[in-house]
Parts: sequence; C-alpha cells; structure tokens
Amino acid sequence: MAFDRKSVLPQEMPDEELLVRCRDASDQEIRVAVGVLAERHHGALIRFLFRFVGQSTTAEDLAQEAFLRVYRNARKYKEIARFSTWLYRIATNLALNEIRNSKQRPRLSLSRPFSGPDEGEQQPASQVAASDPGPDALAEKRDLRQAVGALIQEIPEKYRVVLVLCDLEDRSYAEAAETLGVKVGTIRSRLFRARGHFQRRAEQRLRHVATWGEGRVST
Amino acid sequence: MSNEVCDKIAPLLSARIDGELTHGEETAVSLHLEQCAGCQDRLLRLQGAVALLKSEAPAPEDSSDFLAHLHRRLSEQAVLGFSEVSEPDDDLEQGLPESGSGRLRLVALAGSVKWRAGLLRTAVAAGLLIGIALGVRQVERGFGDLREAWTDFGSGEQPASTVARGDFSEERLLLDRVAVESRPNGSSGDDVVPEEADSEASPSMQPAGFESIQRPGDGNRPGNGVEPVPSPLMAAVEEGLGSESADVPQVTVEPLVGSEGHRPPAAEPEAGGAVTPTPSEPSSVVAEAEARRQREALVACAHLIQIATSKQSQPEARETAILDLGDFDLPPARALLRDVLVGGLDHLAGAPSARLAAFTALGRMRSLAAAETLVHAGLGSGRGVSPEALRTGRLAARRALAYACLQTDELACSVATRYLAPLDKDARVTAAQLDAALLVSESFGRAGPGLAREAVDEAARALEFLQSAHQSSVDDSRLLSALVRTLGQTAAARHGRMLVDLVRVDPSSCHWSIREAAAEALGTLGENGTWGDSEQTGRQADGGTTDQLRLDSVVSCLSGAMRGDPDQRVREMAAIALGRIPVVASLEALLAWLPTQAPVTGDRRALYGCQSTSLLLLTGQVHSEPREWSELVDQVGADGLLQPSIVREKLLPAEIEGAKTFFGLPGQASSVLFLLDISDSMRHEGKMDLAKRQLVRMIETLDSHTRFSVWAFSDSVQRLLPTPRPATRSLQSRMISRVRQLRARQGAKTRLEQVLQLSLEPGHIDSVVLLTDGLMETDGLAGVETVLEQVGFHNSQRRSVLHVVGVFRGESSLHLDRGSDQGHLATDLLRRLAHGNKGLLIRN
Repeated sequence: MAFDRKSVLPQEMPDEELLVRCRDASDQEIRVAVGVLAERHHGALIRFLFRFVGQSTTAEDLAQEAFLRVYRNARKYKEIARFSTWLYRIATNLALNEIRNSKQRPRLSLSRPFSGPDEGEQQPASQVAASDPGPDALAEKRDLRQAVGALIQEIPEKYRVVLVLCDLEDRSYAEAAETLGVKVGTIRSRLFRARGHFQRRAEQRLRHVATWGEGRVST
Repeated sequence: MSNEVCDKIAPLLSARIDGELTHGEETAVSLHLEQCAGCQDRLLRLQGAVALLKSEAPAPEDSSDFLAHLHRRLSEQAVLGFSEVSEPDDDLEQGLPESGSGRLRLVALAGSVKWRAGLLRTAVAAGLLIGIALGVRQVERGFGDLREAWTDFGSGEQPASTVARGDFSEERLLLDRVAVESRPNGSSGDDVVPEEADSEASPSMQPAGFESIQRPGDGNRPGNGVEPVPSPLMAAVEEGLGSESADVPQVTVEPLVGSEGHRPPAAEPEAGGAVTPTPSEPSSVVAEAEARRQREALVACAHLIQIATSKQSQPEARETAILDLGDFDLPPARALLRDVLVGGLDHLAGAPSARLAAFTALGRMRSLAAAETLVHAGLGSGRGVSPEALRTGRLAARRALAYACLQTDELACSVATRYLAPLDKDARVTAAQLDAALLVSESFGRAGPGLAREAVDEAARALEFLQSAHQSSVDDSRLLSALVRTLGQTAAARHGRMLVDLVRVDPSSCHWSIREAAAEALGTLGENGTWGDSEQTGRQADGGTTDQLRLDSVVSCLSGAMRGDPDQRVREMAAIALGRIPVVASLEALLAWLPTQAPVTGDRRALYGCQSTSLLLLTGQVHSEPREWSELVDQVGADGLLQPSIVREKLLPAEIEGAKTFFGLPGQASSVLFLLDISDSMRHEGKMDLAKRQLVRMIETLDSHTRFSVWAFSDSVQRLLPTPRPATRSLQSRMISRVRQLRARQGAKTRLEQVLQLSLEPGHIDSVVLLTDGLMETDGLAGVETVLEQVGFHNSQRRSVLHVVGVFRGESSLHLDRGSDQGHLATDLLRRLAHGNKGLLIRN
C-alpha cells in the first residue's frame, strides 16, 4: 500500500513525496494523489495558462489535460525536478501546442451563439488583438486590464511564456529556465525581448494611461 | 554616450530590474546609467511597462467546478466512474465515513438520494437489468416508455407500475444469459453505428482500424481499472437482489498497470483494457470476467437512470448521474439511454444545470442519432423553456455536438454529408446546415485529412453550388467561409484549384470573408497539403514537377492577393498564409513586396507586420541562427523598415539564393549522416518506399566534396556505410542500390534516442538527416521530453545540425499524425528535434 492510511495522509504530504509514492501505487491511489495535487495547484496553474493563452476556457481545458497527464505519467515521475516545475512544463507544452493548432483552426468560435456575429460580444483577448489592433480602438477601451491582456497576447509565444512566468507568476530566472528547459541566459534575453515588445506596443496604444512610467531611476 | 555602448547596455536593463545581473554587469550598467540620460529614460520606461504589466495583468474568473470536473475525468478512467476520488467541497459526501485515502463518490451519490437498497428501487434496478439483458424491446415491454419516468419526475413519485413490473423470478436466469452472451472484448467493434438510426451511416465511411479509435473508457471500459475491491454500489445492489452475487464467478481482475489504457488505442493498440486476453489466459476466465463487468455495468446503468429520473434525487446527484449515463457503452441499451436523455431535455426545463448535463451526455454518446437530436435540440424551440435556458441549451447542444464530432471522424462526416448534401436542391441555407457546416469546420481542424473523402467532396460541392448561386447574405457568407476553411483543413490538394479561384475571384461578387478564408485555407493547404498525392497526380519517383507547379501557383495567387486585394483583411491573411508555405517562392514574394519607403503607416503598417512575421517564420526554419533574424525583425521591424537587401545580405543562408538546396538538405554540409528508420511502423502504407525514394534523391544530389554515410536503424543499427566517405559516383550508386534493398523489419521498435546518441558521438559529422515517421514507443509526453533532453544534451558539445524528414503517408497515416495523441506527439517530437538542433523538419 503506497499510501498507508495509518501514517501521514496524502493531504499532508509534500508534492514530491506524493508522487514518489505513486510509483508503487494503485490507479485509485494515484487518482487521490493527483486530486490532492490539483487542489493545491489548480488555481495558480489556471491563472498562468489564462495569462499565457488569453482565454479562460482554454486555460481550464489545458489545466485539466495537464493534470490528466500528470495522472498518466505519475509512475514515471523522477525526483530531479520539483513537481510544480514538471507540471508547468507539461502545461507549457500543451499550451504551445494549442496555440500552434489554434493558428490552423478557423477562427469562428463554437462558444459563440450561432445566431449571428452580432451576439458574439465576448471576444477573447487574443481575438480582440488579432481582429482590431488599431490604436484608437484600443485607446478607447475602458478596461485597462483587458487592453493589457490583449497586448500580452500579441507577444510571440516563445517570449510571452517567459514574461508570464517571470513577471506575472514571479518565478526567478532559474525557475523559469528549469520549467522551460532552457538556460538562464536564454530566459534573460527572452524576457528582455518580451518586455520590449510589450513596452513598445503599450506606449503606442495606451498613451492615455498617464500614471505609469513615472518614477525615478535608481542608479 | 555612444549608441554602441547603449545598445550593449539595453539588454541588461531588463535583468537589472530583477536583480539578475552579475556583479560586473551591475557595475557596468550603473556607471553607464549615471552618464546616459537616454538609457535612464529607457530604464524608466521599461520599469513603467513592467509595473503596468504586474498591476494590470488579467486574471481568470474563478472556476468553481474545475476540481469536480477533473475528478470526473479522472474517475472516467476507472470503471463506470466508481472510483475513489476526494471531492473536498462536495456536499454530497457529508456524513460519510472516510475510506482511507479517498472517499467513494458513488456511495455519496447513492447516499444523497437517500438510497437504502430498499425493495422499491432494487426492483426498478432488477427489472431494468432484466430488460437490458433481453434487449430494448423487452425493456419497453417491462417498463413502458421510459420517458414516462421523466413525466413522473414532474409529478413527484415513481409510478407504482414501473416498480410492479419488475420480474425477480427470471433474474438469475438473465444474469446467466448476460454472462454467456458477453463477448470477451465487449462492444468495441460497433461503437458508432449500432443503433437503428445510426445504421444509415455507410460502413464505407468507417476508416480501417476505427474499432481501435475509442474514447478512453469506452468499449471495454468496464475493464479499465476495475478495482479488485467490489463496488459498494454493486454490493448494495446485490444485497437488494438477494444472494445472486455468490453465484457470479469471482474473477480477480488486475488493474491496468500505468495509465496507458486511457490513451486512444489507435495510437497504442496494445493498450486495451485490463482484460485483453493473452494467449496463455483461458478464454473462459476472460469471458467470465467480462460477464461480471458487463453485469456491473448494467446494474449501475439502471441505478443511474433511477437517480436521474427520480424527483427525490438531489440536484447534484441527478446531474452527475445524467452525465455518467452519457458514458455508458452498452449496445443493447443505447437507444434506451438516448431516449432517457432526450426525455430529460423535455422534462428538465425547470432544472437548467441538469438539462445542460443531458445535452453533454448526449454529446458523449458518440452516436449519430444522438448527434441529430443535438442539432435539432439546438435549433428547436424547446417546450416550456425560458429564453435564457433556450439560449444556453443551444450553446450546450452545439458544444456537445462538437464534442461528439471531435470524438469520431465518422460522426463529423455523417453530420457533414447529411446536412450539406441537400444544399444544391434547396438553395436556401438553413440554420441547421449553417450550424453543421460550422461545427464540421471546427471539427476538421482536428480530424484533418482523416476525414472521409466523401464528406470533403460534399463540402466542395456545396461550396461550388453556393458560389454559383451568387448568394450574399451574412449567413451564406459565414457558411461559405466555414466550408472554405474546411477545405483547407482537410489538406486535400485536389481542391486547391477551387481555393485559388476563390482568392482571385472578382472582389465585387465575393464577400471579403470568403476570400480571406480561402487565403487562410491555401496557407493551411500549403503547409500541410498532401502535394503529390499519388491518387491525384500519379507522382513519379523521380520528382514532383507537377506538384511544384501547383504549389507555385498557390504562392503566386497569395502574392497577388497580398498586394492587390481591395480588402485589408484579405491582404493581411494572404501575407500570413505565405509565411506558412516553406518554399523559396514565398520568401521571394514577401521580400519583393516589403515597403521601401518610410514611414509605414496605417493599414500598410499592419500588413508590414504580417509580412515580417511570415518572413520570420520562413527563415527561422531554415536559417542557422534564427535568433539573429528574430532579433532583427523584433528590433528593426517594429520601428523602422526591414530592407529586402538587408535580409538578403545578412540573414538568408546562401543556399536559399540558389533555391536548389532548400529541400536538398545537406546543403553546405561537408559531412552528412543519413539515418533511415526501418522499424515496424514504416512497413505500412508505403512509408518505407517513400522514405527510400527521398533518401535516394538526397544521395544523388550530393556533390563529390561532401562525405556521407548511411545507417538504417530500428531497435538495432545497420551501418551500410559506417564512416563518412566522399560522395563519388560509384559510391553513390552502390549506396543507392543498397538502400533500395532495405526492408522494414517486422516487429522492430524504433530506438530513436539511442541511435541519435550514437550518431552524435564524436566523429566528423556536421549534419545528420533523419528519415522517420516519428512513431515510437515513448512514454507519452514525458518520453518525448526525455528524448529531446537526451539528444539536446549529447548534441550540446558537437552542435551537429539535425534535419528531419517526416515520412507521413496516406490519409490514414495523416489522420494518425494529426488526430491521435501519439501521432501528435510524433510530429511534435520531430519538429522539436529538428528545430532544437538547428535543423529543419520537412514533410514528404
């Protein structure tokens, strides 16, 4: 019995220990373990994916898939990586695939009512960005958050993922590097590029936001 | 301060914000900042942008049912959802004892409806069980129309008659009969077309090997993860039934090792249920185990119907039961289950979430009849349903139908042919046709070339007709656009001409969205298209001149649209599409039409952005330093002009100029190793022949200064030419003749990782060309990651270029390539292998 009920409950085990125990566990025990892990991590993971892919339903679907893959591969988990690193790496790969595939898919959305385009008001941020990136349209947007979200989605995904990890999820460069399987130097340069991308577009389109950019340079 | 220093400092500013500079860098940056106002400003602006980013980043809405949904999906992987999962926030489980590491959801479910294994409900279960065992007709005779159950749902109590008709005396007999009649492999063979309405679906639309494409948990689902522990629900049922359970042979069923059973078996045929008979296993034992499982399924099904239709059930329990009903795969009960769910649509108007669950369950049933119900339900008025519920119901119906279409290509095909076929008889586009076309178009994105030819041609025919009818309403345009994209997604080059014509059509007679869709479809086609499809072109082994011409005409058409179409959206789409077609002509077209005079403003600027992105895509694939190019586009392209001459001089590798070696991979290599996959998977669909032809062609194009060697590999390596030698005429012809004699090895696995490690060991090879279909025995995503990591590690010293020629062949292979997990992993692996090692992935 991999999870001895007399000893520590799965809910009390650290992530990595839970997974290590999955090696010899039954399917149902692994389900329990993954359930516990999902409880701990799903919020942050969905937030990360949402910021990366720009659509909440897609983010949730990807997060579901990520946990299912954790379940399927739990017995193969190696202790060399932290669980969250592993999870985010799986999720990132899924998201990249999704982005790639979605570029090939038609842009009409099933999630919109089919009675006509007029009803499809709830465009995801990425579509807002893709369909009408004009400065005026963006400048008129009341919701700054939405505009920022749209700008993030315009960053090429290779850079965007680094920006989301480091700036929005507060990962260190080393953690981001481990998650993406690249060197720290790569993270540094991609983050620079992503921020530059964002900055340029934000300056072009969000000029009306006068509050940011003020401050002092500490030298 | 010189710009040169500033340019060096600029990239460091970002890391400085995060305190990630080394001590030396920090000092240098600080010193520079003290003296340079420009960089101070730059830093300030960057800090502002980062602050904005951090403070205004969007956050998703809370998803309350994420965990519940995940638990449901996790437990779908076990038998009938009777799995132990912990659902911490689920009220259903209050007051139930903890059972070790998890709690039993279905126990909770049963508890929540105050189910006590009493006589009444047991009688319903037993009666239904008997009915199911005898077939649908018997069920109906025993219970009347099950829709009545929903009617009674409205009035409160289960009808007494329903209970009274259960016949206990026959039960044991029937259980035995179930045991005898059950097939060892369950019902996997006739999943999609079994019931009455479904029988109209042509068997020819069922691609070979479909039986193995099952949803996780279907077919022999009862076998997947059957826990050795008897289900408590079953125990309760058996308690109610009497002592029959003692007569059922107790067969120990090993749970699946690992989780492979959850992947589509198409990709991994060996991953069946736990009960896959092995040669050494006596068939009677297997049959008994199967019988037991089927019996469990029947009883469970009965109980779920009972929970779903009982007024006394708690809403959450009802909803879960309804959802679970969609997952049963009991051929005798399919029509019955569908009727129950359809009845639910009618009678659950007052319980929106349960009604949505019924829609979802219908979508999960993967049957054409259920899909039709969904189409009609999605369009119908819905009796006694509020407008809001109607709207959400339509949405749910669409989603469920899309889900169903995604599950099986046959379903997508059937929906397509059924709803598109009448188009040329009645020129009016009905909402149902529009809906179906949009759905199918969405589904095609995933199903891709695996779709039946019939459905694709139907779409083309419908398109042609609508086009000729000169219709112009919004709906028509949407339908046309959807159909156009459909054609692109199917990657069937035979419809390329139609798409080209659409892009070139007189703009005044064609809505812009159609031309845009056609341009997009051409991009998809150019990227994925089966150019040289033998059935169409009779492609010869010595080349594809005809195909090349056709691809060129696609590029020239897109190029024309990019610069000449009156609508900006079409121009942009044409530029994007060009970026997806990796031929020299695309590059030339994009380069030729880059703007030459600043400033670039307005629409031209947006188009310029698309052109730059496309150039990046194209050259990023072939250039040895994509990063350099990427930086240039990012820095220069965004703010200034990217001059074609700069691109040519600085960035494009020399071989592109000549265009001859763009696909003749070795190019500038001085020594090249060809690795040919001869594993079992290459035996099918002529992949081996195709790969050999590709290899022969490449060997033929080597010049005498290039040294080459050739290895064939599967689970072992056969070195036809162990060490690189100059490509003299005689050596070339000897090698070509040896390559032609190669045969794929039956049963041999692909040890890609090992052979790549071997080939990347120190030597004098600077370029490796791998010819493979990419199908290998990886451990899913983790396995792919392992291969990539290992190869990357081994190559980190040598820095050899690794090109991959993906050998994808035939429609079913392409379907596998795109439609299944494993196929998807394979292409993903090959792409990342190539790109991660400075190489190029080329599809045949």
